[in-house]
Amino acid sequence: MILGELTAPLFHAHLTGPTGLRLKTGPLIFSIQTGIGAVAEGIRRLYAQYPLAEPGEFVDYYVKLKMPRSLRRWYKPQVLFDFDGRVPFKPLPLEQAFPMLEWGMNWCIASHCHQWLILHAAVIARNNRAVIMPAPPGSGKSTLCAGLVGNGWRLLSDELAIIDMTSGKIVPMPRPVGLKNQSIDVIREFLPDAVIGPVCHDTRKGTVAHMAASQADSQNHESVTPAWVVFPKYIAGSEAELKPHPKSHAMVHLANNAFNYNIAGLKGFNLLARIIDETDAYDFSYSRLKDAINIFEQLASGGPG
Amino acid sequence: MPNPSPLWKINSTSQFHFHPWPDGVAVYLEGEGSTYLLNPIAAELLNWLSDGQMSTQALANKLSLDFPDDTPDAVFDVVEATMSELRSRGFVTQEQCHHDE
Repeated sequence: MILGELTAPLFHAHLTGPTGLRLKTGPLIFSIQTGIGAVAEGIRRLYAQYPLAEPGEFVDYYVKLKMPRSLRRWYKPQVLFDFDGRVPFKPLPLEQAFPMLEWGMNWCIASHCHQWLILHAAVIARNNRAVIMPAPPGSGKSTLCAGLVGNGWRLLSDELAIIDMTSGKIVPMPRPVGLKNQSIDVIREFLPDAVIGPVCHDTRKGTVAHMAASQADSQNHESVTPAWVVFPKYIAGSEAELKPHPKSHAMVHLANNAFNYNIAGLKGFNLLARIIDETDAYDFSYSRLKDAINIFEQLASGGPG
Repeated sequence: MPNPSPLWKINSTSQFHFHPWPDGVAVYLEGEGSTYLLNPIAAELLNWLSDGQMSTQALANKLSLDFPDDTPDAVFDVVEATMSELRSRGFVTQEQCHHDE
């Protein structure tokens, strides 16, 4: 059963009930509990196509979005992220409750799923060949990712590249794509049919909103072999350009973008080295999404690389 | 009386792991969990030092085998500059000793 098949009363009953709404995202199951309307609205809008866990299935993480039991409930209300009974972060303004859920879920994965090597990177795929896109904030990674998945590329993750330690394949964790500031309007214009969730202003990342993954991506659990590592960079006014990136440098950049490299140890080093050996690495600069998509199409068909 | 010939040694108890590409070598220090990028000559010198201490001259003699067309002085200069860089990055230290290799 998928979330969108729940009636509104049942959906709210799950969210506020003792076992929470048990949502499958890739190989993980989150139990989400909240009585906060904006969070419920965001989940209903952005996770409608996601499968729900069957009764008795193991829940990986129990998370709650709740308001503090203090006067903060009434004056400049705030929201807390509760993870397995602990509150790991400082509260945020209530208006930021939905982004806090997304950030908190990312944190759960990046901080605890050490059976995988996890990189801070978007991952998309075409014809069962994945592109790993590591990039710092502000590089246009998520905008590019959103543009590509809106044009036929498969979304494996916008934020966390989850790598199987044995096979080296990318494990899909397709969650909504995080958009910031101008990129929200860019994507609204570029992909008029995109489902975009609540827009939150004045967060620590500026104005943020999330774009839903497609139905097919939400329910696709097949891992994909990486074929390319691309370091994207938005440069205003630039032509779309793909240039080879030295492999040894790519290796170090990937290691620097890993959340749990120190935990993975030598296995992590060997895994990344293997990925770099088996992929082509590029720097990619762009300013127009349409041009960027053309270049990626050529890449997928054996073109400009 | 022999001239003092400083010996280079690895400045870490970590085990080094190397993965080479034509454009550079990734080096993983197992004890630290850190990965560094080195040029292939620096990585090779470091690899030799992981087997034991060596002087600049001994390193140059060994490296000369890979560069038969270059003069010994030119190879020595390359080794000297590379070791200086490795020292500045904290990979190696130098130790005085009183015997030549």
